[in-house]
Amino acid sequence: MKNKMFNQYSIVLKKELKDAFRDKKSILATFVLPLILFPIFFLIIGLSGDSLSEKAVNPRLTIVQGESVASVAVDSAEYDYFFDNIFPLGQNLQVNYVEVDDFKQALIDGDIYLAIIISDSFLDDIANANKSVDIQVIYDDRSTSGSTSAGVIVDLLSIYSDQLLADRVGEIDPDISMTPVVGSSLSLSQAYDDIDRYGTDSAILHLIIPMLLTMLISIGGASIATDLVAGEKERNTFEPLLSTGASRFSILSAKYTVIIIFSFLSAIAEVLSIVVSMLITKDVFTTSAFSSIYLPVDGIILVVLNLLMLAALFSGLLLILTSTSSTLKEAQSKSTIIMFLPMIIAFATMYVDVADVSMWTMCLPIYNVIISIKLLLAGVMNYAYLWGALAINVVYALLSVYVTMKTFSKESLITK
Amino acid sequence: MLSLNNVTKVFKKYDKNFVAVDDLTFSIKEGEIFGLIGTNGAGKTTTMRMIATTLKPTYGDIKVCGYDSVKDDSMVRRCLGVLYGGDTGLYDRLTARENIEYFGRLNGLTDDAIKKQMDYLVQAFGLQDYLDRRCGSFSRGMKQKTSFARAIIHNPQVMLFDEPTSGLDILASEDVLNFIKQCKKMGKTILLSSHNMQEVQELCDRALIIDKGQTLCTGTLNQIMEQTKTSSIKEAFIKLVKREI
Repeated sequence: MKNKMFNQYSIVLKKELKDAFRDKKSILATFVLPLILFPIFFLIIGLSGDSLSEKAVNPRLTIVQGESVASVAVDSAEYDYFFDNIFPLGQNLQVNYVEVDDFKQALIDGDIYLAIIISDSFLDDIANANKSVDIQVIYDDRSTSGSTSAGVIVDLLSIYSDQLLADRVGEIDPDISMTPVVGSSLSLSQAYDDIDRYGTDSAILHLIIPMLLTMLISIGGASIATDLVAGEKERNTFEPLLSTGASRFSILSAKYTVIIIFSFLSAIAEVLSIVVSMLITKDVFTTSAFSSIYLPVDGIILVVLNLLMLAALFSGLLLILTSTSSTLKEAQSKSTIIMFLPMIIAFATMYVDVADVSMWTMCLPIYNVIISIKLLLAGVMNYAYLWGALAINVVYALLSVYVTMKTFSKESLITK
Repeated sequence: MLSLNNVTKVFKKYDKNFVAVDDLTFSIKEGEIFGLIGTNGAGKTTTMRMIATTLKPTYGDIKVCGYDSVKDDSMVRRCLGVLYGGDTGLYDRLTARENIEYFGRLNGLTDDAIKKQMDYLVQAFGLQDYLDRRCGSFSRGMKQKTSFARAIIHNPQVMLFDEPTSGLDILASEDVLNFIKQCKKMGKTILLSSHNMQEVQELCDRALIIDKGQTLCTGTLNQIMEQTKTSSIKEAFIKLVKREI
């Protein structure tokens, strides 16, 4: 009897997998999108960064003097001074000078990224070693290109200021240091080996991976789940299927398994996508994020088991929804509602620190799985929490299986 | 081969009972086509579903090839070939061969038995040209033939046809009717549910007229016409349903 049931189960499972893997839309939603999401995401960030850098070294700017709002002329002495003495200090800097009548309007309209405001006596002030020269760089608050370019110009002015100072001091005493102050910026983790802080790459691992992994395990199989019963009803294949020699339990368990498989494959695709993206964008992410992580085998097993139980819980919920729907559209609408649940919990727990976890919070579904992954990644192997989460998740999964079986044996499954 | 004894089906909705089938009794012999005639909502499909074991009778019992529909539901389904009406349900992403094999396996056939049956069915329904093509691109006629093959891949003793020509054009309907005749020639026991009196007159040996779940009349077609003093099943049906007798 058990052998016969298993045989029927494997027949339905093989057919469902074959059918599902031939469904281009499901493959796209389940694997391709999660797989390419992060490379595209990082590529866009990279392109935006490149574009900003390009704008910063090719700034469109103008020079305005005194109370005037119009640019100084291209052939003016002030113009020549900037182009002969200051701008050449910038490596690869190619300034695109734009003459405007009203620099404020030009900034608002985006005709220029920034305006350099100098005093009426700029040249005299520069020549006067006893006087400090104020130069303002104005950019539009809304413009990222403006703020980036302004930063470049301010740095440039600082370099020029140092150089000017050095020239003047050097005239008095040739042995004096030409670089009396050198500024540099370092983060805490770069400066001290014993301090481990989340960098951009570690943040991805510790904050985003637990959230995405849990979300995809919960709802990664939604696309395929809606098709498994409601889709069959819509195509008129469900009643003929139930009229075969296969038991309902075999049919249900095979469909259950397909959803769990798809959820896991979707989550694996997402993790692969993140890891590959981090490796290929080395200037953004470093391998230190990986090297600082120690993953104990028993911890991995416990987390995978927790994920499996979560997948079972949601596969059941999705099967209940699709079974109680008469059309694919109805099933999709219902599954959209259920998709919000893991999303909300996942986002809400994104910044929860593993130090703030208590045993009772480990009883909350989804939340406890996210925390389990965070514990593993942080190397905080609190086995009481991990086993506690697993125990309660097994209960949730069994409840889900029970309710799904009850739903699947209802006559309304056919008559709806 | 197929018998229903005092079968009643009650659906409960919002604490209200709805009797879909009320004390239905009939039996069908081997090689016989039995018509279950009624208007929409008369209880035909509910009866079919109870025989196919997708619904359980509230009272009474159903026997198919000697098996009880509740206690031995799996064995009952293996004795049955079911063809539902309207748009034929096939898995579009599977080929015709895969669709047919799938149902063969689910009905307990071995690979050898499936191959043997498949060879026969391919010849019988002329499936050779599209057997290994995915069903999504099939014309209605091709789908219909694939469905026929799928319904009898396991060589069932009893065939259920639930309004098989519903929504079909004349040519497709003709194919279905020819298939039912072919099944009769093979010695199958056939239950045909329909509200098309013409096809009942053409195919059935005996019939039962059902309305609002209750049996109005049963017997051979001639007996029904005699009892109702009419010259056709259509007239008899209208007279009975309108309670003019």
